[in-house]
Amino acid sequence: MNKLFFPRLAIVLLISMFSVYGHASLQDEYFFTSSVHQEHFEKLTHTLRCLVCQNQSLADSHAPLAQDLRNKIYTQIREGKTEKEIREYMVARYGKFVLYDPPFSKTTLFLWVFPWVFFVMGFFFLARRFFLKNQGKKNFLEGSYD
Amino acid sequence: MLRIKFLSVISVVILFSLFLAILAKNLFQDPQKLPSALLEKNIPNFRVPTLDSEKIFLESGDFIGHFSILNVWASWCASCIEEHKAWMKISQQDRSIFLYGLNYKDQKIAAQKWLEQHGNPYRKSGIDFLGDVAIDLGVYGTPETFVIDPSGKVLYRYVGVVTDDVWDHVLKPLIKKNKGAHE
Repeated sequence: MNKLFFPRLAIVLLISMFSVYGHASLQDEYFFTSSVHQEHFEKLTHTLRCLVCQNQSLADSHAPLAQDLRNKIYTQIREGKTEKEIREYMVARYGKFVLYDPPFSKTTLFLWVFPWVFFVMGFFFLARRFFLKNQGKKNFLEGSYD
Repeated sequence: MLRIKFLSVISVVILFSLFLAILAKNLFQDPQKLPSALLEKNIPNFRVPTLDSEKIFLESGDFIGHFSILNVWASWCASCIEEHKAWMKISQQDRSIFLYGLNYKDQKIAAQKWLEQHGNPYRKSGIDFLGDVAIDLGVYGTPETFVIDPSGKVLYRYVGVVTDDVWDHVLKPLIKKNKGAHE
Protein backbone atom coordinates (compact mmCIF):
# COMPACT_ATOMS: atom_id res chain seq x y z
CA MET A 1 0.00 0.00 0.00
CA ASN A 2 1.17 3.46 -0.81
CA LYS A 3 2.74 5.23 2.15
CA LEU A 4 0.62 8.27 1.40
CA PHE A 5 -2.70 6.38 1.37
CA PHE A 6 -3.86 7.31 4.88
CA PRO A 7 -2.76 10.94 4.77
CA ARG A 8 -4.58 11.30 1.44
CA LEU A 9 -7.69 9.58 2.80
CA ALA A 10 -7.62 11.92 5.75
CA ILE A 11 -7.48 14.95 3.48
CA VAL A 12 -10.39 13.68 1.36
CA LEU A 13 -12.49 13.03 4.46
CA LEU A 14 -11.63 16.43 5.84
CA ILE A 15 -12.69 18.15 2.62
CA SER A 16 -15.91 16.13 2.43
CA MET A 17 -16.89 17.48 5.86
CA PHE A 18 -17.19 20.94 4.36
CA SER A 19 -19.26 19.86 1.37
CA VAL A 20 -22.54 20.11 3.32
CA TYR A 21 -22.30 23.89 3.12
CA GLY A 22 -23.03 23.71 -0.56
CA HIS A 23 -26.78 23.16 -0.22
CA ALA A 24 -29.31 25.65 -1.54
CA SER A 25 -30.84 28.11 0.87
CA LEU A 26 -34.47 27.64 1.88
CA GLN A 27 -35.10 31.23 0.85
CA ASP A 28 -34.30 30.65 -2.81
CA GLU A 29 -37.80 29.50 -3.64
CA TYR A 30 -39.22 32.97 -2.95
CA PHE A 31 -39.16 35.57 -5.64
CA PHE A 32 -39.22 39.27 -4.84
CA THR A 33 -39.44 42.19 -7.21
CA SER A 34 -37.95 44.57 -4.68
CA SER A 35 -34.77 44.14 -2.68
CA VAL A 36 -36.37 45.92 0.28
CA HIS A 37 -39.03 43.22 0.42
CA GLN A 38 -36.33 40.58 0.16
CA GLU A 39 -34.52 42.15 3.11
CA HIS A 40 -37.71 42.27 5.19
CA PHE A 41 -38.34 38.64 4.42
CA GLU A 42 -34.83 37.60 5.42
CA LYS A 43 -34.96 39.60 8.61
CA LEU A 44 -38.38 38.31 9.66
CA THR A 45 -37.69 34.65 8.95
CA HIS A 46 -34.39 34.82 10.81
CA THR A 47 -35.82 36.46 13.93
CA LEU A 48 -39.01 34.41 14.28
CA ARG A 49 -38.93 31.04 15.96
CA CYS A 50 -40.15 27.80 14.43
CA LEU A 51 -42.49 26.38 17.08
CA VAL A 52 -42.07 22.79 15.99
CA CYS A 53 -38.29 22.66 16.29
CA GLN A 54 -37.92 25.44 18.80
CA ASN A 55 -34.22 26.09 18.48
CA GLN A 56 -34.46 26.89 14.81
CA SER A 57 -35.67 30.06 13.16
CA LEU A 58 -38.35 30.00 10.50
CA ALA A 59 -35.59 30.54 7.96
CA ASP A 60 -33.69 27.41 8.95
CA SER A 61 -36.48 24.96 9.60
CA HIS A 62 -37.73 22.28 7.24
CA ALA A 63 -40.84 21.63 9.35
CA PRO A 64 -44.08 21.86 7.34
CA LEU A 65 -45.43 24.52 9.69
CA ALA A 66 -42.31 26.64 9.16
CA GLN A 67 -42.90 26.34 5.42
CA ASP A 68 -46.52 27.47 5.84
CA LEU A 69 -45.47 30.41 8.00
CA ARG A 70 -42.80 31.44 5.50
CA ASN A 71 -45.54 31.44 2.87
CA LYS A 72 -47.72 33.61 5.12
CA ILE A 73 -44.86 36.08 5.61
CA TYR A 74 -44.15 36.10 1.88
CA THR A 75 -47.76 36.86 0.93
CA GLN A 76 -48.06 39.54 3.57
CA ILE A 77 -44.88 41.27 2.42
CA ARG A 78 -46.16 41.22 -1.14
CA GLU A 79 -49.42 42.72 0.09
CA GLY A 80 -47.35 45.59 1.47
CA LYS A 81 -47.62 44.78 5.19
CA THR A 82 -44.91 46.29 7.37
CA GLU A 83 -42.46 44.30 9.45
CA LYS A 84 -44.19 45.42 12.61
CA GLU A 85 -47.59 44.27 11.35
CA ILE A 86 -46.24 40.85 10.43
CA ARG A 87 -44.52 40.48 13.82
CA GLU A 88 -47.82 41.38 15.51
CA TYR A 89 -49.63 38.85 13.35
CA MET A 90 -47.28 36.12 14.60
CA VAL A 91 -47.39 37.19 18.25
CA ALA A 92 -51.21 37.30 18.19
CA ARG A 93 -51.25 33.64 17.18
CA TYR A 94 -48.20 32.09 18.77
CA GLY A 95 -47.41 34.40 21.67
CA LYS A 96 -44.20 36.28 22.45
CA PHE A 97 -42.33 32.99 22.44
CA VAL A 98 -42.27 33.22 18.65
CA LEU A 99 -39.89 36.19 18.90
CA TYR A 100 -36.25 35.21 19.26
CA ASP A 101 -35.39 38.40 21.05
CA PRO A 102 -37.61 38.39 24.15
CA PRO A 103 -39.08 41.85 24.77
CA PHE A 104 -38.86 43.42 28.23
CA SER A 105 -41.94 42.34 30.18
CA LYS A 106 -43.01 41.06 33.59
CA THR A 107 -41.97 37.50 32.75
CA THR A 108 -38.57 38.40 31.33
CA LEU A 109 -37.80 41.03 33.99
CA PHE A 110 -35.39 38.74 35.87
CA LEU A 111 -33.61 37.76 32.71
CA TRP A 112 -32.90 41.37 31.85
CA VAL A 113 -32.28 42.80 35.31
CA PHE A 114 -30.27 40.14 37.15
CA PRO A 115 -27.08 40.27 35.10
CA TRP A 116 -26.93 44.02 35.73
CA VAL A 117 -27.57 43.59 39.43
CA PHE A 118 -24.66 41.14 39.63
CA PHE A 119 -22.50 43.38 37.53
CA VAL A 120 -23.05 46.35 39.84
CA MET A 121 -22.54 44.21 42.94
CA GLY A 122 -19.33 42.78 41.52
CA PHE A 123 -18.12 46.28 40.74
CA PHE A 124 -18.70 47.48 44.31
CA PHE A 125 -17.06 44.36 45.72
CA LEU A 126 -13.93 44.88 43.63
CA ALA A 127 -13.87 48.62 44.29
CA ARG A 128 -14.11 48.03 48.01
CA ARG A 129 -11.35 45.46 48.02
CA PHE A 130 -9.15 47.72 45.98
CA PHE A 131 -9.88 50.64 48.26
CA LEU A 132 -9.27 48.64 51.46
CA LYS A 133 -6.04 47.21 50.12
CA ASN A 134 -4.72 50.66 49.28
CA GLN A 135 -5.94 51.96 52.58
CA GLY A 136 -4.06 49.16 54.34
CA LYS A 137 -0.85 49.97 52.46
CA LYS A 138 -1.17 53.63 53.24
CA ASN A 139 -1.79 52.97 56.93
CA PHE A 140 1.21 50.69 57.00
CA LEU A 141 3.51 53.22 55.36
CA GLU A 142 2.31 55.99 57.60
CA GLY A 143 3.01 53.86 60.62
CA SER A 144 -0.58 53.81 61.88
CA TYR A 145 -0.78 50.10 61.18
CA ASP A 146 -1.74 48.08 64.21
CA MET B 1 -17.32 45.88 60.32
CA LEU B 2 -17.52 42.11 60.49
CA ARG B 3 -21.28 42.34 60.72
CA ILE B 4 -21.54 44.46 57.57
CA LYS B 5 -19.36 42.00 55.74
CA PHE B 6 -21.47 39.10 56.98
CA LEU B 7 -24.71 40.82 55.90
CA SER B 8 -23.40 41.64 52.46
CA VAL B 9 -22.19 38.08 51.89
CA ILE B 10 -25.55 36.72 53.02
CA SER B 11 -27.48 39.09 50.74
CA VAL B 12 -25.35 38.15 47.74
CA VAL B 13 -25.87 34.45 48.47
CA ILE B 14 -29.64 34.97 48.79
CA LEU B 15 -29.89 36.98 45.58
CA PHE B 16 -27.81 34.50 43.67
CA SER B 17 -29.80 31.49 44.86
CA LEU B 18 -33.00 33.32 43.95
CA PHE B 19 -31.63 33.81 40.47
CA LEU B 20 -30.64 30.15 40.21
CA ALA B 21 -34.03 29.06 41.55
CA ILE B 22 -35.81 31.01 38.83
CA LEU B 23 -33.56 29.54 36.14
CA ALA B 24 -34.02 26.04 37.57
CA LYS B 25 -37.80 26.41 37.58
CA ASN B 26 -37.76 27.29 33.90
CA LEU B 27 -35.41 24.42 33.20
CA PHE B 28 -38.03 21.92 34.32
CA GLN B 29 -40.88 23.50 32.42
CA ASP B 30 -41.72 21.69 29.20
CA PRO B 31 -41.10 24.23 26.42
CA GLN B 32 -43.06 22.03 24.04
CA LYS B 33 -46.26 22.83 25.96
CA LEU B 34 -46.97 26.49 25.45
CA PRO B 35 -49.98 28.38 26.75
CA SER B 36 -52.18 29.62 23.94
CA ALA B 37 -51.82 33.22 22.82
CA LEU B 38 -55.63 33.16 22.44
CA LEU B 39 -56.39 32.66 26.13
CA GLU B 40 -59.34 34.80 27.21
CA LYS B 41 -59.75 35.92 23.60
CA ASN B 42 -62.48 35.06 21.16
CA ILE B 43 -61.97 32.16 18.84
CA PRO B 44 -60.97 33.57 15.41
CA ASN B 45 -63.56 33.88 12.69
CA PHE B 46 -63.66 30.98 10.30
CA ARG B 47 -66.05 28.90 8.23
CA VAL B 48 -64.97 25.65 6.61
CA PRO B 49 -66.82 22.68 5.04
CA THR B 50 -66.92 19.47 7.07
CA LEU B 51 -66.01 15.84 6.43
CA ASP B 52 -69.71 15.00 6.66
CA SER B 53 -70.78 17.19 3.76
CA GLU B 54 -69.64 20.10 1.61
CA LYS B 55 -72.88 21.83 2.63
CA ILE B 56 -72.43 21.52 6.36
CA PHE B 57 -69.94 23.98 7.79
CA LEU B 58 -67.92 24.29 10.94
CA GLU B 59 -67.83 27.96 11.89
CA SER B 60 -67.08 30.27 14.80
CA GLY B 61 -70.81 30.59 15.50
CA ASP B 62 -70.94 26.88 16.43
CA PHE B 63 -69.07 27.68 19.62
CA ILE B 64 -71.61 30.14 21.03
CA GLY B 65 -74.14 29.25 23.74
CA HIS B 66 -72.43 26.24 25.32
CA PHE B 67 -69.03 24.99 26.39
CA SER B 68 -67.27 23.37 23.46
CA ILE B 69 -64.15 21.43 22.76
CA LEU B 70 -62.23 21.76 19.54
CA ASN B 71 -59.78 18.97 18.85
CA VAL B 72 -57.24 19.40 16.04
CA TRP B 73 -56.49 16.01 14.48
CA ALA B 74 -55.37 14.25 11.31
CA SER B 75 -55.41 10.69 10.03
CA TRP B 76 -51.64 10.85 9.48
CA CYS B 77 -51.01 11.88 13.09
CA ALA B 78 -49.82 8.97 15.20
CA SER B 79 -50.62 10.54 18.56
CA CYS B 80 -54.16 11.32 17.42
CA ILE B 81 -55.03 7.65 17.31
CA GLU B 82 -53.66 7.38 20.84
CA GLU B 83 -56.11 9.92 22.19
CA HIS B 84 -58.96 8.77 19.99
CA LYS B 85 -60.08 6.16 22.55
CA ALA B 86 -60.46 8.87 25.16
CA TRP B 87 -62.60 11.03 22.88
CA MET B 88 -64.84 8.05 22.02
CA LYS B 89 -65.34 7.35 25.69
CA ILE B 90 -65.97 10.99 26.56
CA SER B 91 -68.49 11.50 23.76
CA GLN B 92 -70.36 8.32 24.70
CA GLN B 93 -70.41 9.10 28.41
CA ASP B 94 -71.72 12.61 28.02
CA ARG B 95 -73.88 13.11 24.98
CA SER B 96 -74.47 16.76 25.81
CA ILE B 97 -70.85 17.61 25.17
CA PHE B 98 -70.05 19.75 22.12
CA LEU B 99 -66.95 18.08 20.73
CA TYR B 100 -65.83 19.41 17.35
CA GLY B 101 -62.91 18.26 15.26
CA LEU B 102 -60.64 20.25 13.00
CA ASN B 103 -59.12 17.96 10.42
CA TYR B 104 -55.65 19.41 9.86
CA LYS B 105 -53.86 19.18 6.50
CA ASP B 106 -55.32 15.81 5.66
CA GLN B 107 -56.68 13.98 2.63
CA LYS B 108 -60.46 14.04 2.85
CA ILE B 109 -60.89 10.38 1.92
CA ALA B 110 -58.20 9.23 4.33
CA ALA B 111 -59.83 11.24 7.12
CA GLN B 112 -63.31 9.88 6.38
CA LYS B 113 -61.97 6.32 6.34
CA TRP B 114 -60.18 6.93 9.63
CA LEU B 115 -63.45 7.96 11.28
CA GLU B 116 -65.32 5.02 9.78
CA GLN B 117 -62.70 2.62 10.99
CA HIS B 118 -62.12 3.95 14.49
CA GLY B 119 -65.46 5.62 15.22
CA ASN B 120 -66.50 9.25 15.07
CA PRO B 121 -66.63 11.05 18.42
CA TYR B 122 -67.13 14.51 16.85
CA ARG B 123 -70.39 16.38 16.20
CA LYS B 124 -68.66 17.51 13.06
CA SER B 125 -65.11 17.87 11.78
CA GLY B 126 -64.13 20.93 9.78
CA ILE B 127 -61.72 20.49 6.91
CA ASP B 128 -58.60 22.65 7.23
CA PHE B 129 -56.78 21.41 4.17
CA LEU B 130 -54.22 24.23 3.99
CA GLY B 131 -53.86 24.62 7.74
CA ASP B 132 -54.99 28.26 7.67
CA VAL B 133 -57.55 27.95 10.45
CA ALA B 134 -54.94 26.16 12.55
CA ILE B 135 -52.47 29.01 12.04
CA ASP B 136 -55.13 31.49 13.20
CA LEU B 137 -55.61 29.31 16.27
CA GLY B 138 -51.86 29.23 16.92
CA VAL B 139 -51.67 25.45 16.43
CA TYR B 140 -48.11 24.15 16.11
CA GLY B 141 -48.64 20.41 16.24
CA THR B 142 -51.37 17.82 16.33
CA PRO B 143 -53.12 16.88 18.48
CA GLU B 144 -54.15 20.08 20.19
CA THR B 145 -57.33 20.63 22.15
CA PHE B 146 -59.11 23.91 22.87
CA VAL B 147 -61.73 24.46 25.55
CA ILE B 148 -64.12 27.26 24.59
CA ASP B 149 -66.69 28.92 26.82
CA PRO B 150 -70.29 29.80 25.82
CA SER B 151 -69.30 33.31 24.73
CA GLY B 152 -66.75 31.88 22.30
CA LYS B 153 -63.71 32.70 24.43
CA VAL B 154 -60.76 30.31 24.57
CA LEU B 155 -60.35 29.07 28.15
CA TYR B 156 -57.54 26.63 27.68
CA ARG B 157 -55.38 24.91 25.13
CA TYR B 158 -53.92 21.47 25.74
CA VAL B 159 -50.98 20.39 23.56
CA GLY B 160 -50.50 16.65 23.19
CA VAL B 161 -52.43 13.48 23.79
CA VAL B 162 -55.58 13.82 25.89
CA THR B 163 -55.74 10.70 28.03
CA ASP B 164 -58.53 9.71 30.43
CA ASP B 165 -56.32 11.17 33.12
CA VAL B 166 -55.97 14.56 31.40
CA TRP B 167 -59.71 14.64 30.84
CA ASP B 168 -60.63 13.72 34.41
CA HIS B 169 -58.08 15.95 36.12
CA VAL B 170 -57.56 18.92 33.81
CA LEU B 171 -60.23 19.51 31.18
CA LYS B 172 -63.36 18.28 32.92
CA PRO B 173 -62.71 20.17 36.19
CA LEU B 174 -61.92 23.29 34.17
CA ILE B 175 -65.29 23.17 32.39
CA LYS B 176 -67.08 22.39 35.65
CA LYS B 177 -65.44 25.32 37.43
CA ASN B 178 -66.30 27.74 34.64
CA LYS B 179 -69.84 26.40 34.34
CA GLY B 180 -70.32 27.43 37.95
CA ALA B 181 -69.15 30.94 37.09
CA HIS B 182 -71.54 31.13 34.15
CA GLU B 183 -74.71 30.08 35.95
